[in-house]
Amino acid sequence: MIIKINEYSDVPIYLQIRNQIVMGISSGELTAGEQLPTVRALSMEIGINTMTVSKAYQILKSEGYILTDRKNGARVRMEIDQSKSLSAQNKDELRRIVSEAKIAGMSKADFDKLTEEMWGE
Amino acid sequence: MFICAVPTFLIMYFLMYPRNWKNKKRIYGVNNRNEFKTEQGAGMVESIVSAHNKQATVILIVLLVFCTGLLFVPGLNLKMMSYTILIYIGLVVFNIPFALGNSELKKYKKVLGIVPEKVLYADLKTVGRVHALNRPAIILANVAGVLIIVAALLCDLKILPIKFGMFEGTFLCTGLVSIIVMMNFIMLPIAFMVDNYRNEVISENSDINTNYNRAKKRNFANYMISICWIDNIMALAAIFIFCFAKVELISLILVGIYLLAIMGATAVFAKNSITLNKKYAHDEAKLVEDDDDYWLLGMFYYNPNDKRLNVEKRVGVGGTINMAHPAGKVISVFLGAIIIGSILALIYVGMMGATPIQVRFENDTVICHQLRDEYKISKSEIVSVESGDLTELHAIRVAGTGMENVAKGNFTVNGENGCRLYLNPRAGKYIKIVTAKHTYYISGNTAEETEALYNSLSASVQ
Repeated sequence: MIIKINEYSDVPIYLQIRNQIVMGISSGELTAGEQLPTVRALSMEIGINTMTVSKAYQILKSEGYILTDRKNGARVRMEIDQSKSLSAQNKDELRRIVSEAKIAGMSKADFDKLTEEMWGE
Repeated sequence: MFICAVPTFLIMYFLMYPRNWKNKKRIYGVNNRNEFKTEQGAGMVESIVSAHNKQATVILIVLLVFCTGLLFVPGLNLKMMSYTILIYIGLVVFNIPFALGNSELKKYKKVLGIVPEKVLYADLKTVGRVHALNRPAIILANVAGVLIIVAALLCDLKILPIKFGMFEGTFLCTGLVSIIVMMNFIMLPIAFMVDNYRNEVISENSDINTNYNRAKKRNFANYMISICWIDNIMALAAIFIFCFAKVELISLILVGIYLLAIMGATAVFAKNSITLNKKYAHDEAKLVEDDDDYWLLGMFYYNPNDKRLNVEKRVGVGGTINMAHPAGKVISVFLGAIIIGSILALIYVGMMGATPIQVRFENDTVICHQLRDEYKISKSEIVSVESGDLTELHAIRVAGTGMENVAKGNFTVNGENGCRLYLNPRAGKYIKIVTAKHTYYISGNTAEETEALYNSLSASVQ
């Protein structure tokens, strides 16, 4: 799985890493139990501080996407908790996106089509 | 020097100035992009490439002509110095069309409206997992090198039954073998470093990325291991040639073979690199990290946002340093000092070759002078003085200068260690001065000058 880090983005690098790993798990590019690179290896590869990668992994761990241990490093969890609902933070984010789509004049049908496409990715 | 210079220029030429730029990953250190290959872009890039390739071809021809011409320069010192100057000039001049091409392509990128995105890619399936260095093989080569040094030392200590003849007790063999094997000790960390370099992302397919990076690292690892074994063979050959009295010709032939072997290994490495990049060319340029602006003139990496100290070179063999890294700044200053120091040393050697030695006896002191006073032997220290023909001397340099018109420094003379030489080998005559501390062999620039000095010195000492 390829992750893309944009140095000019307003989104902090640790969040870019976190978001792309989540998207990778969702799309199936990262399978359950798959080994992730070590903090050191990933930071060396991208040329960023180890703390940045460590922070991304800590968030992913606290959110229940990955498991970390000293022996095996980081792995995608075999079973990720399925609450079958969005977190409050994500609901707020979705509300913002829907609002912006409305302001932009997007129809509900187009919006549904877009989410349908994304759901399938 | 000829064997060394010609392949160096040829390899540089073929690596730096590609013929078919459309299939290359980079052109003059600038990432080859799809925008360059469009109808509008291709014409401009083609004109830039053809103009600078033409300049490089002219420079190559001129350098090769000079290389061949220097073979006919009389005198070994002058020849060696001329070749060294030519190689220095060649390395600088050869990079000029490359640097010009780099800056023109960067300008053209702006004309095309390409704004650097500063996007980095990493393939999670290759990060930290792609290695190709056969670690036991390179460690074995280094262990073998250490054993060869030990063998040379045991010979010098007369523990092993190999006789070094006149070189016995000089530890010259151990010194030379150590210098050769030292190259292996430099190769070892470089091999490990390159094996741990970041993996390039050339495709969205992780398998392609893995195969490409593994093949690239294997090519370099094999190159490093072959150099280590070439060094070991050369070190063994050095022990062998020390068993012979007349080493000059054999050592010259061996140095030639050694340089050819190194050049051969480099040529194989370069050919494999070109083949590899050609093979994966269709997968490249889909994911382009636009870090061209961090490569000054396409050669020097300066990226304050990158925490890595060493990165893979854009053109050529191995890696280079990030000059924006704190340690990189120190290394850059150090390397700069080495380059300036070697140029100053070259000038000094040139001046030494052009300045005749002066040996005079005044105020009851023998003064040996060339560029500066080097030896001052007071009359009161002198135990005995004698004269002889230079053909009687067999001197082996331990530390010092051995040129056609000057031999000075610490030498082993006719089996006696620690002798001080200060003579012109062309003079034909020498004066041997024995003091309580050292034995000196000195001469003037001619036999007459030496005899006159001997007469005044012996008269004064008696």
